[in-house]
Amino acid sequence: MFLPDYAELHCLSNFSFLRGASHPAELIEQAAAQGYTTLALTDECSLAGIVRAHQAAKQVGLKLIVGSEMTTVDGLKLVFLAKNREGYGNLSALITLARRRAEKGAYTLQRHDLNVVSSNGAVPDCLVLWVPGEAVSIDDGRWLAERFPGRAWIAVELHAGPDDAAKLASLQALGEACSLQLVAASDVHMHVKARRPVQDVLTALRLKTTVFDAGYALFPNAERHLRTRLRLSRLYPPALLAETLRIGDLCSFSLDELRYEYPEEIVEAGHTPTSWLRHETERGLLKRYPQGVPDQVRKLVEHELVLIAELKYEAYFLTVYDIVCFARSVNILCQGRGSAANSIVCFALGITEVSPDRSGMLFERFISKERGEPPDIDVDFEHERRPEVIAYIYKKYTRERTALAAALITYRTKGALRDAGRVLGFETARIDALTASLAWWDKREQLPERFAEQGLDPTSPRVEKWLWIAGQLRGFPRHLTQHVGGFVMSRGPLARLVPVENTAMPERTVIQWDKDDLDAVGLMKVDVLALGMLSAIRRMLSILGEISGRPWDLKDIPPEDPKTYDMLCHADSMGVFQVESRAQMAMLPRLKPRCYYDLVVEVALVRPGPIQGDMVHPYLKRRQRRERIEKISPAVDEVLKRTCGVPIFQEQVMQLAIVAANFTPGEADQLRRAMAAWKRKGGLEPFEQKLLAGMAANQLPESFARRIIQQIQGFGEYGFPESHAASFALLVYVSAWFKRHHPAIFLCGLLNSQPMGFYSPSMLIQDARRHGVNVLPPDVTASEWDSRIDENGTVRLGLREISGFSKVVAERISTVNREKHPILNIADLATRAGLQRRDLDLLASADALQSLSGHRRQAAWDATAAVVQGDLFDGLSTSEPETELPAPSEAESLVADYRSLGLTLRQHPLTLLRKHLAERRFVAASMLKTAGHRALIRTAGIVVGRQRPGTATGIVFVTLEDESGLVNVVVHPQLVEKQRRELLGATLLGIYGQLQIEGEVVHLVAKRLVDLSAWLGRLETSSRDFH
Amino acid sequence: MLWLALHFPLLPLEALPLRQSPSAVVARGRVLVGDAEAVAAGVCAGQKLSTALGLQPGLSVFERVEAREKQALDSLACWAGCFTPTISLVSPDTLLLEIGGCLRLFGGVEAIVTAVLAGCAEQAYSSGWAVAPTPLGANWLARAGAARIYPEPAVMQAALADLPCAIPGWPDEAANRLESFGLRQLGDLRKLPGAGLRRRIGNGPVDDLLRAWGDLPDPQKSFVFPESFALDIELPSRVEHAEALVFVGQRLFAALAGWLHGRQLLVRRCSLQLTHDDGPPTSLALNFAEPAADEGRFVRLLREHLSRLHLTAPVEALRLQADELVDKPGASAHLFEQAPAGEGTLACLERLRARLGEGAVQALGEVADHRPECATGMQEVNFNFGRFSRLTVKDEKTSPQPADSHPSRPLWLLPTPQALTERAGSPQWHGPLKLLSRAERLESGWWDEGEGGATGDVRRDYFVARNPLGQWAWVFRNADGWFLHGLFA
Repeated sequence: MFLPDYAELHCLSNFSFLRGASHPAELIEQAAAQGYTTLALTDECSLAGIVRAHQAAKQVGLKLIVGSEMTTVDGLKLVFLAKNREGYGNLSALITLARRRAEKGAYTLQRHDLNVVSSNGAVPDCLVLWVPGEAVSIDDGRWLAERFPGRAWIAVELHAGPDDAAKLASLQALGEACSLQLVAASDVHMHVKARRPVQDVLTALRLKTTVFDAGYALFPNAERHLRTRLRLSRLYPPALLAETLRIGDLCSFSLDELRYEYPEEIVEAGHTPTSWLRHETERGLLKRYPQGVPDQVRKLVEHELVLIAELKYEAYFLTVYDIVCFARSVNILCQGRGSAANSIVCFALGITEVSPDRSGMLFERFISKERGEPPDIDVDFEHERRPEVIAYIYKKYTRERTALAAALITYRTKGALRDAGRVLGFETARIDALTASLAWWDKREQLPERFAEQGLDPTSPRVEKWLWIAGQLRGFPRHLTQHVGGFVMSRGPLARLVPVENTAMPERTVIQWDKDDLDAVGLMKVDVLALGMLSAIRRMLSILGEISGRPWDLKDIPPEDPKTYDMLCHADSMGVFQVESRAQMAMLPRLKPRCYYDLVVEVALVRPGPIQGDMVHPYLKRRQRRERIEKISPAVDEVLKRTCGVPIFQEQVMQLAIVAANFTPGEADQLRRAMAAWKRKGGLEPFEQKLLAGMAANQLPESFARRIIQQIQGFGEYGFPESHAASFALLVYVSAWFKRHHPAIFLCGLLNSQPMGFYSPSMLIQDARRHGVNVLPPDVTASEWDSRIDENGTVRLGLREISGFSKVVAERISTVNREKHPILNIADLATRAGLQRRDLDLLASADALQSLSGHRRQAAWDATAAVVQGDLFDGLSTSEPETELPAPSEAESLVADYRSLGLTLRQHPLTLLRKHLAERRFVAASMLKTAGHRALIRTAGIVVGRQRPGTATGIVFVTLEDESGLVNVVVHPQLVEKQRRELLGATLLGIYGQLQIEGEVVHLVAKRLVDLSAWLGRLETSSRDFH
Repeated sequence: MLWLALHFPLLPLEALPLRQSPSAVVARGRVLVGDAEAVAAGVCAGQKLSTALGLQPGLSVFERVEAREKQALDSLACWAGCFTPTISLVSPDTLLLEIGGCLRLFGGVEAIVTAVLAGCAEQAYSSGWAVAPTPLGANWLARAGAARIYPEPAVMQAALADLPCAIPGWPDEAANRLESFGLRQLGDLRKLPGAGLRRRIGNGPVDDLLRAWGDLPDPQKSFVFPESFALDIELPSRVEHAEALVFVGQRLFAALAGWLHGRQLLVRRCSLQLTHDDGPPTSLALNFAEPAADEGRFVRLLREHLSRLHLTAPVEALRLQADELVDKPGASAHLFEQAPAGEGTLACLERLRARLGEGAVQALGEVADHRPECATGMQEVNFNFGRFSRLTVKDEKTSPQPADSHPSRPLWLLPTPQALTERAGSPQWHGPLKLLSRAERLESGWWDEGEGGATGDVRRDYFVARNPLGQWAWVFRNADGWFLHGLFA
C-alpha cells in the first residue's frame, strides 16, 4: 500500500511546560520510526528544547526544523519556522521580545510586533502557519497574508473531532477567501498515544485542578501524537500532506550553523587578542617575578601561549581577566579555579594566587589540544559583593549582549509524586506524609506497608495510576531558572543567537539554554560564583591591615607556616575553609598535612567519591608508610606518584584511562561524563570493557584493573578535580593561618560574613574563647553593626548579632555614638538615632541597653515609654510612676540571650547544670581524651549538630557542646531506630557510650541516649541539622 | 451567672471519628495536634511534618479542615442544649454553658459538670473544663486544664492570678513584650499600673483582664439552634462493620437530643443515611411510636438497626436527619406551620425532601466530561445544615464548555451501550446501519479505570448512522465491536 511522505510542522515537547508530554528526543526518534521526512519542534515561545532535539536528530538522521508556536494577546495562534540563519535570528529575537516584557515563565506577543519591518514583510526568513481557532476571521487571514507575503499557510489540524469534514471545508473556504495555502499539521503533544494520561495530568496541573474536574479542558482523544502515515492519509487530502514536504524543503537551517564570537572590547586598540594576551601576561610576570622570570616558568608560558593561540582561546582568557581586573579595582577578593585557571598565564594575569612554587606539578595538566574541551575557569567572588561584579558585566556588555545561562529544573521523584497525587485528588497532607521519605520508591516491597499506614491501598487502581504517572513525570522539565553564575557574552546581539527571558529577579536575564546545551553548540560561559569564605578573608585582611597599619593581600600571607600546619594536624579547624566539617576534622590528624599539596589532597579526599571508591584507607596507609606503594608500570606510576599510587582526583582517572588503557583524550572525556551520570542513567559498562581490554593489552595486572574500575564507580559524579582542589587549598591555608595567628580577627571576619560555613556564631564564639579570645556582648553605646576589635584586642560583638535588627538603624546609632555628647538615656538615644519602638524592643531583649537602663527587663519597660509616638500625643511627656521590675536570674538571662542573639557570653548553660550532671556521673567533654580507648563513659551536652551522611549507611553523627568543648557522637542505625525520639527531639542529650580513640580522633559510640532537655527549662538552643 | 467552659484541645483530631492511631492533623506542613500515641512518640504541635514522620513513621496524617471543626463544635453546641439553653461558642474550640439558671433542675453544679463530662466522654471528646463566675475567667481556667469549680469571684481571681500569660492567646506582639518584661503570670500584670500597661501592650489584653476578673461586663452572643436538623459526619477511613458505626451514630444522636431539647421538640421519625464510595447510599428509617427526645432511646434503637444491617460496601460518611417533628407538649416553637414569608421555595423543598426522603429532590446538571455517559447527571440539591439561606446545586466541574456544543449528540442516551451484530462490514440495528458521518474519536477517562461502578477509560470512534427504517442512531466502534449508544429524535 502506498504511504504518503509527511513532515510534521507543529509539534510541542515537554519544554512547552505543562503542555507537551514527551521529551524532544522521544519525538525525534518516534518521527524517524514513523518514516516522517522532517520534524519541526515548535515549543511555545521557546527554543529551550531545541539543542536536545538537534542532537537526537543528528543521531537518527532526521531533518529538524527550528520553530516556535506563539499566540498573540488577542488570540491569533501562529507557528513560526526558521528558513535559514537569518530567520533563526529573527525568530530568536521575536521570542526574546515577547518574553522580556512579561514575567518569568510568561510571554506577551502583540499584533504590532508583526508589523512589516522590511520589504520582505514581518519576521523575515521565517515561514508562518496560522492555526485558526473556533471563530475564523477572514480579516485575520488577509492581515497575515499581507505581512508574510508568500510565507503564510493555514494549518489544518484534524483530530477526529465531532465533524472533521465540516472543519476542513470551512478552512478551505477560508483559504480561498484570503488566498492562503492549506497545509496539514497535527499539533503534536506526545510522541505516542500511551502518553495520554500524562498529557491529561499536565493539563490539570496547568489549570491547577484535578483530572476529574478538568472536564473539557482535556483533549477528547489521543490524536495529538505522531500518527502513522496510514492514518494521516485517511484523514487528510493528499495535497495537504504534500504541502508539508514543500515547506520542509524551504527550511534549510541547522543549529550547526551557529557561530559564536567573543566580545571585542576586551582587546586594546591596535592589538590582536593574541598580542594583547601576551602583553598583559608579560606585564603580570614582571610583577610576579621582580627578580626575573625563572627559565622553567618562561618555557611554560611560551608553551601555554602557543596552545591558547592555536585553539583561539585568547578572548576567553581576556574576558575572565577583564572581570577579575574590575573586582581588583574595587577591592573585591576573587580567586579562579578549574583546569585553565591553574595555568601560569592565569597566575600572571592574577586570576589565581596559586603559584607554581607551591606545586610545580599542577601545570602540566593544563588544557590539552587533543581533548578539545573548552577551557574551564570558574571565578569565586566574595559572596556579598558578587552582585557588583554582575552589575559590572551587565553594564560593560549591556543587556543586549550578555545574560546568565539557564538551569533547567526537572521533576524529581518527590515533586512528581506530589503533582501527580494532587491531580489525582489525593489529600496534600497524605502525599506529604508519603513523600517525606522516599525509601519505598526504590524498594517497592516496602510500598504496601507505607501506603497502608496512610490508609491507602497500594493495589487500588488509583494508587497504581498515581505511581505510574509519577514515574513518567520524573525527569520532565518544569521550568528554567538561572544558573548559579554562568554568564554568556557575545559580540553581536545575544538574542539573535538564543532567546533571552526574564527570571524571578528583575535585574537578571537568562538565555533559554543550560550549560549542556551551551557545550553542545560551542558557546562559552564564564562562571561568576559566590564564596562566603572570600568575604570573610577579605574582612580579615582589612582588619589586619588596619591594625598593622599597612595593606595586606592574599600574597602577603607567609607561605608554609609550620605552626599553621601543627594546628591543622590537631584537627583544630573550626571555621577554617573546607576542612571544618566533622569528617574533615577526623581526617586531619590521620593525614597530618605538612605542606600546601597535602591540603590539596585533604580537600579532595574527604568527598563521597573517594570514600565510596575506597581510596581513603589505601591512601592513608601508604602515606603513613604502613603499606608499600606498588609499582604498576612507569606510565601509571607517573600519573599516581603524587598521591601514593591511589587515584584521588578526577584528572588522574582520565589520565589513567589514556596511559594504561589506550583511551584517546576524547574518549577519556566521554568517560568523565559517563562517570558523572552513571548512578542516574548507568552506561558505564562499555567503558569497563574497554578499560579491562586496554589494561590487559598493556599487560597490567587484572587485579589492578578491577580495582581501578571499582574506584571509578565509587567516584561517580563526586570525583573532585585537582584543579579546583588546588585553588580551594589556598583558601584553606589562608583561613587556617588567621585562625592560628590572629584568632580574634578570624572570629570577626567569620561573624561579619554570616551566614556561611558549618558552625553557628555561638559555636564560633565559644571556640574563639577557648582559644583565649576575649569577647564582649553587644552594647548600644559601644557596638557597631559589625563585630570589631578594640584597642585591647577584645572582640566587641556587633548589633548584627541581634536577631531581626536592621543595618540602617545600627549605622544611625553608630553616628550618634561618634557625636561629641554622650547618650544620656534611652529617650535621648531614641530621639537622636530616630529609633522605632521595634528597634528599642530588640535592643532591650538583647540586653544591649544595659549601659543606659540596667537589666533587660527594666530596659524593655523603660524603652516603651521612650519612643517617639508620632501620633496625636506626640510631644506630650508621659509622666508615669516609676515601675521597678525584678531582675532576671542567670538562667533566665541565658534563655533571653539565646532567644535574641542565638548565643550567650555568660556561663555556658551546662555550667549551671554541672552539679546535677556530676551527681549522675556525666563527665565534661574535656575529660574524654584522658579516659582512654574503649572506656565506658557518660557525657551530656547541647545538641549543636546532627548529620546523616549519605555515605555512612544509616549512621547518625551528633555533635554535643558543653562548657569545655565538643563531643563527637556516633549513633548506629539500630540505636537510631530504637531511640528515634531522643535522637531527634532532645536539645540536651545524655549519652551512655564507649570511647574510640585513634590518635587525636575521639569518638563516642552511643549505647543509650537520654533526653535531658527538661533540665534546660526553657533554654532555647538551635541545632544546625545537616542532611 | 455561673459559667461552665468546655475546652476541646484535640478538636481538629477528634472531629474525625474512628481514625487509626497514631494520627495527627497538620496544617500548612506543620503538626497542629497529635493523638496520645503520636505524642508519646514525640510528635508535638508546631513540628514540621517531616520531623513528625521521622519520629513516628507510621503516623496517619489528615489535612486540617476548619469547616469540619466548626461543624463538630456546632454539633457539640446542639448537644449542650440538653443542659442549658444559654450556650455560646468561642472559636475555634471552646463552648461556654451558662449553668447558673439550671442548677436546681440538675441538683447542683457538681451534678451538671458530671453529666456534661460524661456526655463528652461518651462522644469521645477530650475536654478541659472549669466553672467560674465570669465567662472569660471560666474559659481561661478551662484552657489551663483547671478542672475545678470556682463558685466565688475571689477564689476564681486567685486562680486566674496564677495562670501563665500565654493562656489567653493574645497577639504575638503583646505576648513577646510581656516576655521581655519578665512577666509570667496574669497576677503579675494586675499588679502593674493599668495605664502604663495599656501603653505597652495595647487595650485588648488589659480589657480582657478586666473582663476575666469581673470588673468589666462581658455579654455573650448566644448560640442559635438551627431551624432544621441534618448533620453529616465524614469518616476518615472507610468502615466495613456496621457495629463500628454505633459510636459515630452516638455523636449524631447526642446532637439531635440536645437540639430537640433546645428547640422544645420531639422527633417522630428520623433517618440515618450511610454513604458508600460506590453504589447508592443505604438509608435507615427510625420510627418512634411515641415522639421522643431521649438520647438513650435513640441509641438503643440504632443498635438494634445496625446489628441487623449487613453492609454491602464500606461506609464513607453518615448523615442523620430529623424527618418528622412534633412540638413538645407545652412548648411554643414551630417548624413548618409558621414558615416565615419569603422562604417559601426553600421551605417547600425542605419539606419535600423531608417527606419524600433523602435523594428524592434532585436537579439536572451538566458535568464536564468527554465520556458521553458521564456528561450529565442527577445532582442532589444541597442544603447546608444550620445555614438556611442559599440553595445550591453541586457544581464542582465549572471548567470551560466543550469546544463546540456537540452538534451531533443525541438527546436520548441508552443507560448502557447495546452491542450490535456486524454483517458484511456494517453494524446491524433493525437492518444494516449506514454510517453518515466521519468518525469522531473519544479517548478519555483513564483516571477511574478499574474502579467499581465507574465508566473507566473509553476508546471509541462514534458515528451518526441510519437504518432502513429511517431511524437515526449514534453508534460507536471499539476494540470489542459495534455498539448502539444513543438515538436522535
